Amino acid sequence: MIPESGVPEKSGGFLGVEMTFQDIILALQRYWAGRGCVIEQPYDVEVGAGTMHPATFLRALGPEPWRVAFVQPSRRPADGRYGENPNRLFKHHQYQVILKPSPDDVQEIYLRSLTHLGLDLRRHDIRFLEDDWEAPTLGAWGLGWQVFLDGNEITQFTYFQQVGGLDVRPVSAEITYGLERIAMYIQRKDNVYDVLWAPGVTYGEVRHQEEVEQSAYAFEAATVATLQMMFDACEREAEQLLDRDLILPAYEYVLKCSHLFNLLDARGAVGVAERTSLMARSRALARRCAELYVRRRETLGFPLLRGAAAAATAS
Amino acid sequence: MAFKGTPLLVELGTEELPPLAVRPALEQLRENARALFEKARLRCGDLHVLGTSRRLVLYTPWMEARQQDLVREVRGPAAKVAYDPEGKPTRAAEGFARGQGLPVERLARRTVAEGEYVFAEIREAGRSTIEVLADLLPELFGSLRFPQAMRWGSGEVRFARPVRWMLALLGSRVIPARFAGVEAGNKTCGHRLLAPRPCAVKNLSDYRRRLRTLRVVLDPAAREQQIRQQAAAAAAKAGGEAIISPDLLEEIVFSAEHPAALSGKFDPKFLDLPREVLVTVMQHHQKYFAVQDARGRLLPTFVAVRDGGTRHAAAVRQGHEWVLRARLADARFFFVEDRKRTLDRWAEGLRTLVFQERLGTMADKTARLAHLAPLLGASAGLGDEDLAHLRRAAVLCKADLITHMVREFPELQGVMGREYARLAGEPETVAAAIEEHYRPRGAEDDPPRTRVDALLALADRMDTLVGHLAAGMGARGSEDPYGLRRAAAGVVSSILTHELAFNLDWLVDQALAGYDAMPAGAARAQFQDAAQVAAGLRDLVMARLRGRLQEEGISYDVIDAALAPGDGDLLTAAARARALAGARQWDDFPRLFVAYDRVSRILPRGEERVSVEDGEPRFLGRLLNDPAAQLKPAERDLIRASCAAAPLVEDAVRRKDYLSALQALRALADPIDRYFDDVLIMDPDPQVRGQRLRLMRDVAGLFLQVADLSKIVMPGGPGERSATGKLAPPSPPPGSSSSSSKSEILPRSPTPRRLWQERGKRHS
Repeated sequence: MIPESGVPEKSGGFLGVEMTFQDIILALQRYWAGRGCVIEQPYDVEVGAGTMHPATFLRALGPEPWRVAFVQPSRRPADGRYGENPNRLFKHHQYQVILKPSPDDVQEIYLRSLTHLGLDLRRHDIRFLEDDWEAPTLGAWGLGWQVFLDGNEITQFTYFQQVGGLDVRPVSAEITYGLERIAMYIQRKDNVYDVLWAPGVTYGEVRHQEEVEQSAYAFEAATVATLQMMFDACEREAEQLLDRDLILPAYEYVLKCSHLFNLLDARGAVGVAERTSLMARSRALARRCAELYVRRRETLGFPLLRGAAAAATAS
Repeated sequence: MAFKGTPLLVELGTEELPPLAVRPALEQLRENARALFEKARLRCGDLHVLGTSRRLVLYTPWMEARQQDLVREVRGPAAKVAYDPEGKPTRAAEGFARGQGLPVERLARRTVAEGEYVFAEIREAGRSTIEVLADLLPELFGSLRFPQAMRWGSGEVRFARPVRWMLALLGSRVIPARFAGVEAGNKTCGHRLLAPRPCAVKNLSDYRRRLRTLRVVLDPAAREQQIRQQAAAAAAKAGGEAIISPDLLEEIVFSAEHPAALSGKFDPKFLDLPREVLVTVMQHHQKYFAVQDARGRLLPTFVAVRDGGTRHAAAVRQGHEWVLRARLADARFFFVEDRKRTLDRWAEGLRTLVFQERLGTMADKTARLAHLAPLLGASAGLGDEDLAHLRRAAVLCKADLITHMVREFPELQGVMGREYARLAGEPETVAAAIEEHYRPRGAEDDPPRTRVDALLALADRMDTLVGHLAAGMGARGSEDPYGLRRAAAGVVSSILTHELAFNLDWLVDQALAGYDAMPAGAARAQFQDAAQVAAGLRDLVMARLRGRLQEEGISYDVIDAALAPGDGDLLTAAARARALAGARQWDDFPRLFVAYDRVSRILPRGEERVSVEDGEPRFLGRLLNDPAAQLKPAERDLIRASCAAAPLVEDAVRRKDYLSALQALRALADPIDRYFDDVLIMDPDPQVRGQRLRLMRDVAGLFLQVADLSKIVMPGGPGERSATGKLAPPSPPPGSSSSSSKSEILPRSPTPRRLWQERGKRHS
């Protein structure tokens, strides 16, 4: 069992114990594993957010219970800053938690995870500020909050209402920690590249070159025509895979469409109306994936429901 | 109010509600409770609501322990059927009494309009209040409406955010209610961090006392006052005053249960960022109050309101300062990056930003504006210098859309364009127009400041409206996906504020011409023709003009009447409406109305317009000198009066002085009345009849140069039905706009009797 409160803050320095970037990840992994979560691995297709990981997007569908946590490197091409901006990154890291159905004390569970990171919450200003979340390319929306720690947005907290255009029952709570934000705050670093990733190794040493090159790619080198061609090709591939009921492979191509859209956007090649049209195309694919996934799970007899029933009778 | 029962206390505990939804929810809670309690015959004292983002609270100092009994009367058979001549109840009476569950001797006899009948008085004893409330509370909370509601967990109930507890006490007894999967109890929860454990409550007064120790300031007014005072004090310490935007204040009042303001500092080097950037970052993104000195200059200080009281304030301040520094560093990065390119360079980049898939890119739009705006400017008589500035502003006005700053803070569009233009040494007129052309940004916003600003704004809106309408992308019903109604509001605002006398059809033609240059094969080929576009635009713009005139306090029927002549010039239409609204206040306006009403009624529908097109009031004069015409004195008088009024009306209309025109028409009221009293228009001789009708048409034509007075609704007042028994159509509810087509199908308002009587009195 996890102790109710984590490491107490020392009075001297800010938090006393300086958690590295990887310490934070390890602490969250341990915490959420202790809350009955499957510790999944990052998805190996480019995504813009942990929500797009099949362990979130698809598992949030249908009646099966599910608890999962994982780190997801998330690419936002438009946020690339050539490694020069202290806060903006082409690729950042989210810590993603899904609790389905959302438990009654989900906020308290979440707050305890912060304590587990060594924060004494009474010494801070914690706010759950309204945030309506929508992912038009996924046909998904939900209501919840951005969680602010002393004015610093560290987490997005969402109760999914629709995913892939389908009403979700039961409702999942999605908790998405911004790992860089939290690390910078805990370590009081003004520049993300100065964050200690591991003892003696900074974030910059691990990731800076990638940021420089990816930014140059996204803003200057990417060929718009090629990206558009790839978007069309991935869309077709997704469709033909869906026609064969190959849901997960199809979904990967949907993710590629989404990433290509983001690249086009970063390149400044997407206008208001085109945005609407490209999003509609992505959404249509995501919806098909969602519908087929639910049907497939139903055919399989919703296996995780059986597991939950067995667990209930056993206890 | 006397104490007649026990206090009622209900607290619905939730996860953090959207701040701006709390106050409306509390209002609903009180109103819906009032209605439900009344319907349920629960008598209680005043209902009070208080709340925070985590609790909606309803209480009353007293509520009776039981519902009021319900007494209702049921009518039975007629008395002569129910009783025999000796006064003994018959079988009919016995059957009725049995059916109502009463002994027959409890039946009462009473005479009503239809005769004497027997009545049964049924009394249903009220249930205990606590029992009734157990049923009512779920209904009450279920009746609250939020802009957005959600489900959670495995439940199906929708609420703004998940419901987590319910405290429901009548006196000290728990009301056994259940809502959204939560059982009511006697426990509340304190501040999320400072007093998180559930805490039992004895009764209402105990609750209010206890909440204080649980670190919850329940009363929004108290929180607001606390925040204001603390913010003022914190800002004063830094030598300034907090800029308190009401929206932000409301948000904070309903997002902190135990607010405490604290001030922090940021590096003064950030003060070289434009003021709007600093304020946007602090206010919109960080929810801080910016602080300015007595001369209105920003200070490197901010006020944050923390939820959690004053302990450990130093640590919290340090945290907020750190965060703001990062946000400002971000903004500064954008500011520096953006200025590495000139606005002209940014404008070139608009090629990559689509305005509308079927209407080209923002670069295309810019090119159209660069042509259209100066064209409008020249037509409006701008001087050369202003014209050059307008042209330059049109070229630059959209350039900031692809700058880093505006991509990050879209609310700064226009502001950044202005700032970058200024820094690049553009003339002030140009820089200002870039910002101002977005006005009005909303219903509350000011119109564009100068004529140059307004002309650019007008060109921008016309381009948007005409393009979308031509491509068949309009606004339908409540849906306006392309923001065309807002664009139409912009057109009206610019034109009326700066008195730009443009004909709408001409504007449409000019704006449409801009799309001619679109590349071949583009959607241009499928554009609708100019007449259709003009009709669509007229609908949108006129609807907004009506709304705006109503906002000025002009009633919808006056607007209908004034807009009936149907010029394509908004200024003229507005001037007519304002003049008519003024005339409507005249004591003798009803007489003018009655006079015109009689004239227009005698003419076949549509006929009254004929003479307007003929434009031949001389006919009247010819008639006067024609001995064969055999004019009656009243006829002669009316012709004379009309001939005298005609040039005055026409001259006033030419000067757009519609009040004078109405004044000139005033002189016709008496002659028209006498004409109708003394002359039979529908003479059997067709030639006489034709001549008299022709006179009526000419008179109507004079009126119609100003307004169609028959559209005015004259109130009959209560009980003052007209001869036909119809009342004038009631005014539509405020806010509803009446379109001209709608008033066409309303029955013409019958002339109220009162007006006739007044006239009669005056003549005697």
